[in-house]
Amino acid sequence: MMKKKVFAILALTASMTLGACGSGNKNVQQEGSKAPESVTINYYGRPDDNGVESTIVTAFEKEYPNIKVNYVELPDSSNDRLKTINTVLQAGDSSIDVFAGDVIWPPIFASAGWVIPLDEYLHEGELDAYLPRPLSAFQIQEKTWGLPFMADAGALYYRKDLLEKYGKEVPQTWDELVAVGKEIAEQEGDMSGFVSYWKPNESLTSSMLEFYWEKGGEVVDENGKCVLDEAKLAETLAEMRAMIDNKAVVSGIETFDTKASRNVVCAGGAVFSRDWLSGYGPFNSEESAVAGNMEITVLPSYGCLGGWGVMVSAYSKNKEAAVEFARYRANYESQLTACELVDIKPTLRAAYEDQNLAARKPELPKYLPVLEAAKPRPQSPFYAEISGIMQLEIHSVITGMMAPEKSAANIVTKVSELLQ
Amino acid sequence: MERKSRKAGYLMLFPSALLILILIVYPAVNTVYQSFFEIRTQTAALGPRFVGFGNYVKAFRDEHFWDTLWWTLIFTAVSVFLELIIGMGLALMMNRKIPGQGLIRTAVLIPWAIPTIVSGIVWTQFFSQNGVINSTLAAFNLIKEPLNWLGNEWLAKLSILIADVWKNTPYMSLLLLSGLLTIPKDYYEAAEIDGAGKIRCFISITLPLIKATMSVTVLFRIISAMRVYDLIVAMTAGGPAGRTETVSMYAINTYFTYGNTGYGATLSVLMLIISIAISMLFVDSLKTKGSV
Repeated sequence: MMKKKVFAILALTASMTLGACGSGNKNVQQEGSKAPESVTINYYGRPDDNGVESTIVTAFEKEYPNIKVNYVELPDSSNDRLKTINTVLQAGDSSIDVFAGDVIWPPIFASAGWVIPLDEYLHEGELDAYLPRPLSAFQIQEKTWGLPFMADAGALYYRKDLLEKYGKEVPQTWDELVAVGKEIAEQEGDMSGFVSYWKPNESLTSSMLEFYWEKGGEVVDENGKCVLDEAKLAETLAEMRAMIDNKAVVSGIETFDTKASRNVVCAGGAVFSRDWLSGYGPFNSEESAVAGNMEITVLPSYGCLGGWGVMVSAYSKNKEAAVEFARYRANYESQLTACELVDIKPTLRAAYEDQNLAARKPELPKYLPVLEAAKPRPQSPFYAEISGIMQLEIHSVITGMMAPEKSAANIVTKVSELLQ
Repeated sequence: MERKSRKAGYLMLFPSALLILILIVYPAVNTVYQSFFEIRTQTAALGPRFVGFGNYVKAFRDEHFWDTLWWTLIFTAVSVFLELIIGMGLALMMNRKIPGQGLIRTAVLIPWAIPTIVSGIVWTQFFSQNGVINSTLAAFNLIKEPLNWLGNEWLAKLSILIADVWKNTPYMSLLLLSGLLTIPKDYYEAAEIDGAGKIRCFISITLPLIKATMSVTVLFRIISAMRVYDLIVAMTAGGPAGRTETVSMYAINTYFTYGNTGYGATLSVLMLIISIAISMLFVDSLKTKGSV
């Protein structure tokens, strides 16, 4: 009996334990004690698709023979990556020197004191080469906490051929967009006016914010206080719900993830789509039925700023080497490599003016206006939780389980409580 | 001799005991410790603040916690019950002498061998608007409009249960089969001579003799069903409107994604306590009824 109990307890503790285990990636770190000029740093980077990260690391090691970089591949999803990095940094562990970070992380890490500002290491004017919007995500309180190496933003995709056929202009407001999409879809038959992904995840919050911003709404002010406008929020939610009720959007949009949405677009089932910059490639690839007809432009009002950058851990024992690598990871050559190998959009203006690159990637200049119109999501260390609160409430409304006014009130109450 | 072998036994246990201590006991104790503090990633620079049972009071008043808890419990009860019934049926079938027995036993294992996240994605496709399930139902004229399986609260819950039963029944049935294989054949022969029918044999011979295996199997399934995470993340991400979010999902989100370490730890500890309580009940009830 007793044995059984002990066994049960052990099994349960094993199964229920959260945290602390991390990824088990305790890399042996050379303290650089042998020779001061030879150090090894650990870089937790994005996936090594098409060998992109290892190519850049190899190039760096060639240029800086005294710094060895141990590249560790982070998990697949943004949240899992945050978990991994969070676990290590929370413990004050020095096993991460430099890491790739989502644009919504800098406020978290900066306020926790887990990353260092890079300003003192940078050359005069070095930051001017970056596009202002992607860079702004890493700048908090006039300090630079990271360097962006991958640009992304919410964009509007539209069927060029269909707009021409029906003599329509690219819509300038969301109302117009919904109306035009519905009209064309009804006349064409067997297609939807608007397709996106509204499964409860980060993209749902982003989509909602893009509607909300058009109405002039904001979430937090410069001091991180809640400035949500309940009436505008309720209006936004009601409109999203109405889009579903009026069949102005693809049915089942509330269960769609990225892939489901892109499948519909590629099969020619959508007039408009809200997607990230990474949608352009698949929409216009050989497998897509609408290749060459799916054009990209700015969303009405703003698109959410996305993308990734590099940050340096405050617990690193080799900060200088780590910063050196961070700068290299975000420099022109590295961004060019990433753009060529895995079609990652650069954050440096020069890349969009590069004739050689433009010859191979003629779509590149089209991204520039989208990136220039992008707006960072609320820059609060509590953003992830704000987004979580919003996802739950937005989804309650779009699945018809709650009235928009009630959900808007809930969001305002919970977010104000959180940001107090 | 006796003492020597006992010593050797402890020595052999040492490595695993050490591992358990480092990887299980320490994190568990640490989680309990953290649950008494207000610790947030965002304010990590200020250090933790002791709040006593504050986090527990907060959880008690947290409607979303209660919602996730009810769903977790319902999910566990329904899925384990169905898996036990179907698993037992499969085990009885596999226990018969039929041609291709080995092949069948291997084939049954396949759903269980597929990584959860993969089967989650596959089932999402099945239940999607134009998926196999909707087209099959439409082909038999059972539905006019495609059902929004993952967007409707009850259908989403049903979808998740179906996917989980499909995935975990093989595990159940194989463990039950191993129990069935230990029952000597002569018991059945003797019963047959006494004139007992199949049902009578099952109730009077099979069930009592398989009870020990069954209890362990069900216990394992309860433990793992209570912390279900990846299947639901892949299928609905907790939607619609958080109605299929489990306590583990809520705890992990709170702990890692929101950076609310203290409250996330509290949610995990509460879940741990509930799991232990349920398992204790279970172990005790089996103990009093069946003596093997």
